[in-house]
Amino acid sequence: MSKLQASNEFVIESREHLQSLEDSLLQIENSDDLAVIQKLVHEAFRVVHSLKGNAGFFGLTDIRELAHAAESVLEIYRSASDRPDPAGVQSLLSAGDRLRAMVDSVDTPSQFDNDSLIAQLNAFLKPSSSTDVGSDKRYQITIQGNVSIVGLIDRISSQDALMDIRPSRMLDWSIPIHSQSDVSVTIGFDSSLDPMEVMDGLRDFGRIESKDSPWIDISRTASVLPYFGDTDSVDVVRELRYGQVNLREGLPESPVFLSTLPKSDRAPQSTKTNTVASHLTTATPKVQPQSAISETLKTNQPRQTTPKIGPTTEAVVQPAMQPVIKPAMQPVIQPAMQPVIQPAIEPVIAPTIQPAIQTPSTQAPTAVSDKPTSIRIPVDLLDRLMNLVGELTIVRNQSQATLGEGEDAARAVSQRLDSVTSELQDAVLKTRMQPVGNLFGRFPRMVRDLARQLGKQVEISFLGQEVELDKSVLEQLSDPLTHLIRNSIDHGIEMPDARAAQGKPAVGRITVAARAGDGQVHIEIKDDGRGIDPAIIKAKVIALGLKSESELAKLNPKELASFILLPGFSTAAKVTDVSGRGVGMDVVKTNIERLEGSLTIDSELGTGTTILLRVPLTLAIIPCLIVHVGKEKLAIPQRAIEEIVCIYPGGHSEIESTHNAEYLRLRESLVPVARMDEIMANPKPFNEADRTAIVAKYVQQRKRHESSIQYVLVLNASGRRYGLLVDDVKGTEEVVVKPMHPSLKKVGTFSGATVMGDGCVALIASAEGIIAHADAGLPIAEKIQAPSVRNPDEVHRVLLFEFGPDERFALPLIQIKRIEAISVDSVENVGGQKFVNIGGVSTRLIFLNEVLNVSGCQLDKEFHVIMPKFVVEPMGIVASRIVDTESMSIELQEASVSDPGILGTALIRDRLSLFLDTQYLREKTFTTHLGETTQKKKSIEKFEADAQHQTDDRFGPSAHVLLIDDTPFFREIVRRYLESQGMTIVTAVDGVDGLQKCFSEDFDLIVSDIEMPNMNGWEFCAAARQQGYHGPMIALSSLSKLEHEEFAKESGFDTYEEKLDHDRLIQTVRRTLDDARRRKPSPTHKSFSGGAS
Amino acid sequence: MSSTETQFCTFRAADRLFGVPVQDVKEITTETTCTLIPHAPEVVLGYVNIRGQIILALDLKILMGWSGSEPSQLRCMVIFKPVIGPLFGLVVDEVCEIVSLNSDHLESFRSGGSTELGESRAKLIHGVAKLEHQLVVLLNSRMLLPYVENVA
Repeated sequence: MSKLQASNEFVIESREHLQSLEDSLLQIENSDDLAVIQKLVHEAFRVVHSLKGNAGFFGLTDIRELAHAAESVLEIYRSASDRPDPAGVQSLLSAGDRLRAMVDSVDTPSQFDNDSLIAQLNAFLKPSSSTDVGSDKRYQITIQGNVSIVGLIDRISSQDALMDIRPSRMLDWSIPIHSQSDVSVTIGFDSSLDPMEVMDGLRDFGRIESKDSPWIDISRTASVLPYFGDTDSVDVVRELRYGQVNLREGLPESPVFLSTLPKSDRAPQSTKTNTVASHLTTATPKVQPQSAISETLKTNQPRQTTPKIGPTTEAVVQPAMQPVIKPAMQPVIQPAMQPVIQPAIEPVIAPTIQPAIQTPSTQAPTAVSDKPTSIRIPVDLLDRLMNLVGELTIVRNQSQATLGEGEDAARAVSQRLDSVTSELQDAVLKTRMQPVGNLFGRFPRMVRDLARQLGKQVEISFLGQEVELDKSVLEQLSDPLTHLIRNSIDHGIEMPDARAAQGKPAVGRITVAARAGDGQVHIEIKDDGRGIDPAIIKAKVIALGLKSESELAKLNPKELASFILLPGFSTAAKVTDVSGRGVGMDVVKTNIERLEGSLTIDSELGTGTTILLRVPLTLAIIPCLIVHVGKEKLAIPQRAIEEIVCIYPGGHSEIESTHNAEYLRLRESLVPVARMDEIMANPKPFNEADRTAIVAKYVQQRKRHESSIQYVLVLNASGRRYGLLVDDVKGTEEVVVKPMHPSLKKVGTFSGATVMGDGCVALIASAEGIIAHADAGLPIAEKIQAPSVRNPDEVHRVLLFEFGPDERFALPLIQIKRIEAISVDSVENVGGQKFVNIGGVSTRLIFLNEVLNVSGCQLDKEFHVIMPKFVVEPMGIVASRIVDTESMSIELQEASVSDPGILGTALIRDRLSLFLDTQYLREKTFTTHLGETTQKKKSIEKFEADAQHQTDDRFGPSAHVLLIDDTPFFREIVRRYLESQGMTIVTAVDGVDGLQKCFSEDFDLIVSDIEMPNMNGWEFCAAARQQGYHGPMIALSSLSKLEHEEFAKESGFDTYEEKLDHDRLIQTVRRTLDDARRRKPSPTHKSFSGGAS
Repeated sequence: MSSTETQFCTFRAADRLFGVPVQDVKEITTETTCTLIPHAPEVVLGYVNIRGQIILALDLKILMGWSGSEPSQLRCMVIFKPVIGPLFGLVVDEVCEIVSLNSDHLESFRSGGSTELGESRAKLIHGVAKLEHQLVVLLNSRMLLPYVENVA
């Protein structure tokens, strides 16, 4: 291993040690359980010790000395019976920080002045030991037993002798040889010397060999005793152990047989040593049975647990040492030891010490997790693998293209190649993934320090630490997350007395939760602090002249909160060290957007702030929309695209222009439009004149009606919406991103390139770059116009269609299974009812004028049939004309039409459109005309029975249900579903509303949507449970079931159901109520809010 | 063979002969599909996919600044080794033979006398050597990318 590699290993490992040290120390501070604290102190001691050993090995004296000082303090705490002095822990944390800094700049460690820090640490040592600290200390290593030091022993011979050898690097060697067969070698040396070097020095003289049963004792003898401080003696033992002498801790009074150590040690090391041992065993005829060794182990076991030497034990230890060791150890050990000695000793002296250093060894509680199930791989290598997989993909494509007709066998092989390649790509991608817990790990310390500095009490907790993210994404998330958490502490959490005055717990809570879903990771940073005051934002906005008061009045809280993302916008009343300088949130936002992610803020005055980050799992492969501009293909990351609008002659969307800008009228707002072909043709960012020229050019073209079909991609980046006009949209593709060539860093409009399936290179456009290019000079006020905060779940696509001439109907696409074009000839008449055969199923046609009070119509030769989802019976709604689909947030006016089959109405494209209730249509159709099948009969009976409130149904007619959903449309549908079952419904519009209402009355059941503003379903459920609601809860969402079911249960929901599936929902509601009843045998409805369960 | 003899790969662009040391060259390709990169400097012809790697193609004619020359058609590209610069190549009209030149035959290039080349381009040229029938301009491979970075 080269020096460089070695020191890399050291740095990586030391960082891990230091992180672990910090974790332990922080837990020590927060724990009340003395046993736990003891464990943690041991853990901390262990890692500092490892670090010290490593540093010593690499000759990093500065690090070693500081680690030593820290270790000495921990040593005292380790043997103490009460909890560590908080000031001491603080000093240890500081020492950890300094060590980290030193480790990070390991090439130049001498730049740090550690004297004061070491003095500070030494202050926590008891005076008796600290006074002993002097430069002229001596250590002593005794190697005793029937050993010979080959090369040396020849000259010494086996007689009483004392040799004083002074190698250049050591102060003092003394090697007394005892007259018996035992040889005792005692080496004294100065504390400035690394015991490792001493052992190395020994090697220079010769090899330690043994015919019988040697053991190594490191101790003091009377002659050198005055030189020794107690802790130093311990020190030697441990140092040596890291030189793989394998002597156990606390050894001065109990020299340990070398061979037994691996067994009591942890797995990796013991494996290695055992291998060597068994290897040697075969070479040595005098093998002792295993049992003998384990016997020695047992004998040694108690010693491991004896208290370690503290500064006060000096008196006890000294006399005890020699007498105890020799009689106790020799008889037991000597016979057993023989075969094992060589392997044990040789590693001591051999230079390959690395393995021992990498496996720090005490009886740590976490031993299980240390199995070597992972290895380190350079990122370069992974990148190369990634490239190779990319090439493989292209070869695969080529192989498919070159296959001719009739080569079916080859085609099958090629297809297998295809699937293997895809899997390989997935697997390689996974190698780059790391759990977010790695990132979260650094925050507890930061929170603690910051909270102390500000005099606040803050507790941080984490959820979803196992969620995995690409390494590069993780790295880039670090700064934004740090900033957001600092903000929460500084701005969010109030001082303890202020919190108490508001009835909040004095300790502020910050929760950081990570959750994976649809190719993204959501990270939520939530505090229960004071929240963002809309009044302050408003005042600030007006002060900066960004908006007028009347404009502000129209904005919702989310939009208001999003102002803090603007550069230079800080609401902190005073600038502190921590935040308030007005740089920050905009940088956070920019960083997140650079990751192709997004950021939303949710805040309520007095209750807290929640910031939601959405970032992609990986940057290496991203889903892109492939578009054509002229002859060129471009990939545009899908995350930047909000929607796509098709523009065609005679269509209802068109480009409008002022003198210097083009706009797309998109529902209620004007979106500025840039033309990609013009952007690509002009290397310089557009100025006023360019824009005017472009507008003029296309105004002419529009007048001549030359424009053909084009598409506008509505991009959302840097908090602005922008339309990008392209010629054609080819569809989506997952592309492997390659960064731009390093010599082209100045090209901002493209963020990378990718090789397409056909082997062509396509550029990946950067939404930010494009917007910057198109309007470098737009004033800030215009940028604000489109708040970036937008909940995609609130927008639904709605199908518009007509039947009779008078009305227009609407159905959300989510409720539609399919639409078929049907010829009049294929309609069959059966007993006055009309059927068509669709996909082999005889489907009942519903003519709206027969079930609703609407106009009828004579059908053309061909008409359309809309088949609704979530309906058991095959039925189709007849439409004379399909108008279009429209994206809209469904806001129904409920009262305007009072037909039970109409859920409500909405103005869509200036026409009143009626939203149909498919469940009503179904019931009406199949109850009035078709009562035959038993299944339907039953459902009718049930329906009627419930309606008449006279059923023996176990949940009874008066089940009282709280329904929470932010979308009026769904709220209305679900309300109807449940009311049709005889339940009484109270509705709430979001989690906050729900939380207020759920304790105002006794509810038998709560049904809640998940995706809601202000407080989502998960949060609502957790809060309701926490505040003592014990009744059943059902989560209801359009999110897919499998993915969230478990999460729903974790949050406290009883079950999870998809929205709009009428039958399933009813079933689930019944079952849930039944279960709840059974748990609570008393049939009263009031029992659920009790608190007994 | 004299110890100072070097082998040069020669190629032709706009009827002139150029050369780069053979050990600088990774491969020569006849791939013809090139993706233009809008907003990149003029000397950049585009990106070319060579077995899954995206190579930056530089246009030798534009690089030499011959006024009025149209961007080259991608017919033939000399791709350099990574030690010369990351993933780039030089688009030329045709690749010619490999010639061995003794360092004695190399003449250093004097920019002062040339009107065709600007000061910054002078660094691109290592020297000139005389072959039997014509002169060959020897390029400084390592200076090509720095030039691209500075022109924008």
